[in-house]
Amino acid sequence: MILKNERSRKKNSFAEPVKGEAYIQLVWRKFKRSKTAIIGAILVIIMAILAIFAPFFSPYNPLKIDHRASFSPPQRIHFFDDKGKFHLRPFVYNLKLELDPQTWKRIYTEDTSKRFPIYFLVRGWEYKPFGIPCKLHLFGVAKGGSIHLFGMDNYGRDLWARIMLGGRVSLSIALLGAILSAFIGSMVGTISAYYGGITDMILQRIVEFLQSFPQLPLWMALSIAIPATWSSLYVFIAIMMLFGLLSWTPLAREVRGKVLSLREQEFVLSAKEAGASDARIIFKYLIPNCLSHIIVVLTITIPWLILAESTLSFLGLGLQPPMVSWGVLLQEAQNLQTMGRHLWIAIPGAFIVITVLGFNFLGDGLRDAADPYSRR
Amino acid sequence: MKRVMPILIALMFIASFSAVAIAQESFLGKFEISDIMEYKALPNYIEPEALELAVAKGELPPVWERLPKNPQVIKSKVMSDGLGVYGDKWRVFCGSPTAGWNWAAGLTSGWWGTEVLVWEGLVEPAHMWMLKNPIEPVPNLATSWEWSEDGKTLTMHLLEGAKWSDGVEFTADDVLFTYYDCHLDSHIPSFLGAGAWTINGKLTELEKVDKYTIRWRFGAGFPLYILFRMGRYGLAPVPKHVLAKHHPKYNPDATYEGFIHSLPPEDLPVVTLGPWVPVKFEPARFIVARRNPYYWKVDEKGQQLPYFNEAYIEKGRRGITRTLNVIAGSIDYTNLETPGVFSFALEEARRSDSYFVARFVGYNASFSLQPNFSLYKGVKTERDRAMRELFRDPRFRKALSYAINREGITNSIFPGPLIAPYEGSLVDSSPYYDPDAIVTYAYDLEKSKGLFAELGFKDIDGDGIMEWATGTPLAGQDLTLVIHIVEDETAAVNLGEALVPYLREAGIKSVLKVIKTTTYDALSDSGELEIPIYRDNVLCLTPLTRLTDLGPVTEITPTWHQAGPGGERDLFPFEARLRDLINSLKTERSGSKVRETFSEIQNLWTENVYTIGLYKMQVGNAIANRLRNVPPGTPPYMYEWFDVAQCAWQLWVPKEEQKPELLPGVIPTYEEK
Amino acid sequence: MISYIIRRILYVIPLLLAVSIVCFVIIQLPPGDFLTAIESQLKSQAGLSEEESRKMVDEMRKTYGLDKSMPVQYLIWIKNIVTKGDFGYSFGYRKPAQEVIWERLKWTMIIALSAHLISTLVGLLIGIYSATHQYSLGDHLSTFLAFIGLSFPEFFTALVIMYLLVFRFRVPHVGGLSSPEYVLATWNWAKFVDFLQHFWIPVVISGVAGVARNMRVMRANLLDVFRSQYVITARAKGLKERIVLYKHAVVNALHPIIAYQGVALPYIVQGTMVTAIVLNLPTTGPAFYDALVFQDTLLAGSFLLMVTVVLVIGNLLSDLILAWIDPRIRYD
Repeated sequence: MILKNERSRKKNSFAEPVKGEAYIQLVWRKFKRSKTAIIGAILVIIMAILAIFAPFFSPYNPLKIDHRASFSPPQRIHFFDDKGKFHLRPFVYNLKLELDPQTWKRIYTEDTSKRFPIYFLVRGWEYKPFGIPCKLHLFGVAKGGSIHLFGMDNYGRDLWARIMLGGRVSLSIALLGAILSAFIGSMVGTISAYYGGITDMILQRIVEFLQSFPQLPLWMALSIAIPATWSSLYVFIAIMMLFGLLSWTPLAREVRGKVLSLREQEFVLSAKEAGASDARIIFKYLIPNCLSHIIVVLTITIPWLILAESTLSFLGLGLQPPMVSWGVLLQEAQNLQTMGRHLWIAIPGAFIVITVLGFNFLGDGLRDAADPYSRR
Repeated sequence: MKRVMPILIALMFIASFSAVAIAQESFLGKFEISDIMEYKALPNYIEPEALELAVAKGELPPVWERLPKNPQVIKSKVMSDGLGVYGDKWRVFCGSPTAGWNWAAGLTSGWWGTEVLVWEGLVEPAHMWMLKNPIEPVPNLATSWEWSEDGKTLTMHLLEGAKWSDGVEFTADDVLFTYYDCHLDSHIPSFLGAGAWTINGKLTELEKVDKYTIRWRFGAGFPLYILFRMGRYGLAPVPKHVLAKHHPKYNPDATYEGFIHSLPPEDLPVVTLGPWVPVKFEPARFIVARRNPYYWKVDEKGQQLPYFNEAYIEKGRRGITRTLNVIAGSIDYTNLETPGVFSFALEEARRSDSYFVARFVGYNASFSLQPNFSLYKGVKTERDRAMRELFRDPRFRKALSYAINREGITNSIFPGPLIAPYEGSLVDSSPYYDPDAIVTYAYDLEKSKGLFAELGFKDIDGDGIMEWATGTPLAGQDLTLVIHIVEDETAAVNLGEALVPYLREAGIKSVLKVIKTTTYDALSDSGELEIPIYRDNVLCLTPLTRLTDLGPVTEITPTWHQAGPGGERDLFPFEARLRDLINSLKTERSGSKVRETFSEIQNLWTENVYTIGLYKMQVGNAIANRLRNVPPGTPPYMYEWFDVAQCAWQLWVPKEEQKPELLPGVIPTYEEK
Repeated sequence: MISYIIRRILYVIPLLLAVSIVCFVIIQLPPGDFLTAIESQLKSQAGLSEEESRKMVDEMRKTYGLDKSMPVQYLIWIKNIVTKGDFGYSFGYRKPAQEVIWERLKWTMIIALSAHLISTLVGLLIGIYSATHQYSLGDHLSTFLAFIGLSFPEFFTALVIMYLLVFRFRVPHVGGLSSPEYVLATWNWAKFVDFLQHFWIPVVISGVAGVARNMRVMRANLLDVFRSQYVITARAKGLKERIVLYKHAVVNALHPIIAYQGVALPYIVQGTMVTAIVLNLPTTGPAFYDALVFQDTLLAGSFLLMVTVVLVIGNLLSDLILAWIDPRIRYD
């Protein structure tokens, strides 16, 4: 809510007319100057690359179960071997499994008898980007060795690989949701303002209606209504739609305000005079002029949806296993005792924080930059 | 090397396991009823100081007046640490809301052991696990009973002079009120309605012979299973003198809605026959209950029970909180029922400053696949029909059983002897378990493949998954099993995840559907589950208490073969035999005959792969090590839950280890209403 | 102005009606109902057989009108709310839904309001500091920390704090609001200390994001105000910097935050929700969550409706407040 106020406060500063290349350059120059924005952009790009090429970065299949390696801890990367000798090529030791004879607890220790150097661009499990079988992975170790940088989960699945895969799901659900929301928001806002009258009235009532619900409880209630018998894909789409369909209202209001002022401007009026169709005016003149604003809101919506998705999934209301997302991965950390003894299963949380931070930095930087005439 | 390791490890376990488990000799199946308790007057009774003080002040009648003429004397034989001392509080965790104190109207005190505080049955099934010959439950408020010649009439004698916690005498009127005005009144949603009391189409009659004697008339001879309906969870009498004025039958101004909610959680203290009386309640936080000065059990020395002056119930929401709090030393017991916590609990228990011991007492729970055989219920699609026809083919069930590497699964889920391969039907801790009767179709991929080939399944497209043969309704599709699992059953979810790759190895695709309890039960009720993984505590252990669930004796049981509209159901020949055996058990009184019958049931069940067993598990308990007198070998579930079976009234803590009470000296007092 | 107020209030009525329908429908969407949960409890806890337990819940369904059609159930529900203030029956707690919510409201409000107050105060102070020391190390640091605070999912903060307390600092009792030994003690110093030891956790967790938000809003508002004509004028007149800051700048920068208080309530209630679920607090959040999971339909619906109504009314109030403090707003 405060965010909304903050945004509406800045509303007036978006009133400059048609933006050409000069504007883009101006924005870029301003953006470049903000260190946090650059850091944010880099973080976001890194996360996006990791997510897009998830299997390439994962030496192991994120779905492969090995119960015998349940909760095996992260393997450390070494440069010095047990005799203190330095090796230029980093290496790992395999973990030896022993069982506590009284509690049947699995105890893992480093087996220092054999070093496994880390090689890059190696062949491993097969995956199919665009249907083409591929076995190339960024890193890996020789046969007989293993490299689980973030350890294993309860079922003995490689957590590193699962975080990569989970990132793909978490980021794409947030991105698609945000795009959907931006699309609906900008369309509704534009149409509402452009046509005015009864259309505006009805659309504004819908906006108000949607805004009268408290978000979290409403989302919880709606996501629990997604049939448990649906397949993972449908659940994914349903949650994405939920995000998109329920989060567009602030943008619609802002775009409406902006279009209301644009509507009366010379270039729009003359286009109308020249007999341009409504669609043409909307898509050619109105939306492009709000675009910088829309992009900024989009960037701010994404981290917000990432948080929403992870919270819902963590509570068991959003995505469900076997689907993997960062929130789903953190379900395992729900039991404090599990997390206390296997701290690495909380690593997905760090990925959420870093990604959201990156998007927040980026969004903040973009917002300031998109408004190049402000003094801040 | 990989093959030798498990064997070595297994040997290590066997050696170490015996050392952990057998600390004290188990009471399981050791006693006659007379070893556990008897009803007799003792020359002298003892009570805690606070009560003595109240008696001296004239606030309470003296102890011998509060006790029945012949109180129930708990024998020292079942007190493994001997006679106790008074003091301290029993600390229980409760994960469900408390609905109210009118238990005859179906309101729960919150489950999780809270029932022990206030519900007392005519009989006590909780003690049965200690019996040598567990056919009839142990007496409780009914001190003895006689069957008529034909077994259709049962005369019960009630505990004479037992008093409710407000000092009013308990009599046959309370029982009749509970039975006729609550259970049989169709306006009141009691736990057991008229249906549960109908035998052979005849509603059971109850009459009052005198103040302390009641007589039952049944529609069949010796319906022993009905005795289990007279325990804590069935016919636990409610105080008529408190409730009658809220009942429309006795008060024309009253409503049924009002009656059901006439004793809300905050209406304290409760009028009860139980050992502790709730006196303080805060929703979602706690209940504090103080000792009932009128409790009718004593020890051999004449000390009035319970030993604990107080019971403290911490309210929470999830089972794991209970486990964590036992480990942290703030709660007195919990169940250990997922392999995921076994090592953790055992390790924590071994610390020198640990607050608890972990006990495992044998296999007492099981997991199996339940293939749906019903052709007339829950069949919605072509696929449903085809799958059920397939499940109905014994060759398929055998092939599936052969396809499952149970050793591999159990070893990878928990590499210790707390879980083990299981074939279906009963498990080791059951008094009727007969290993010789059980037929196994153990892991054998060759045999599995052979049977599947016979059924026409072959991997045509080379993806490792077999397809349905041409000419079948699903021709060309992958052989896929949809396996539903309840989300809260962590162990079952674990098992499902482990099962998938093994089934794939055998050429079967499987889809796991992890769903909420309510969704699962809704699907189960409508007969739409395909082949769920089901966790069982009762049928594999004490089937006598829930006979009807065991086979096709009602239209909705077994849940995996329910009858369609109009009772339509194609029984297998072995199922028909199963039904007859179950029906015969309903009235069987001879222990050896019961055992024989169950042997045959186990044989029929496993030979025909009625369900496909996966693994059996030792559900264990974590018990605060300050507690004395927890009966050695108390099962986590058998006839009743551990909450009840541990005999809370006889638990005690030595003076030097006692913790302060929350409401020291407080005695439940009732305002005149 | 008056007609504006009346129009706004009249407009709220159809909105509330629509909202109540949606709340009811959403909650009814999942298959099954709470009685299926009761059924499984009867089987697992009371040891009843399949047949007995199913008969019992079928009878209950009839008794409580759950066999009626959805529109009829809605009409009954809304009628009882309007005429009797009765929000319907919670099967999970076996009592009227409003009582369940009511008895949890005390702790919900105490925690939510504390978190809200503290986060507003702390956020404002840091915001003022940041704005008056723009581009200083402290400003950069607090801006950065605010970003971090906004990036932590609440449940994750809760997990991290619980982990640290239990496994690093070995705190004996975490979760809930007091140690068992103090639940009934009369208020004394020890109990108060024990209470604080439990109480700060949810307050801090749900306050973190609030601090960050308030700080950023305050900082931005204040910087805007600093650039505004009248502050520049005030400064030019040679007023003391302190007076300029507190008498003029801060007061003006507070406007949006004051207006926000109108709708703050539902937001702070939902803000503590996730924390309360993770920490297992006796508040409305976990009750709502459980009601959803176990399909305690009317309880979940009532909670959703109540929060929504508070939000709608809050929106109304904050519109009216804004109209009152900011005369530039048009009344049409």
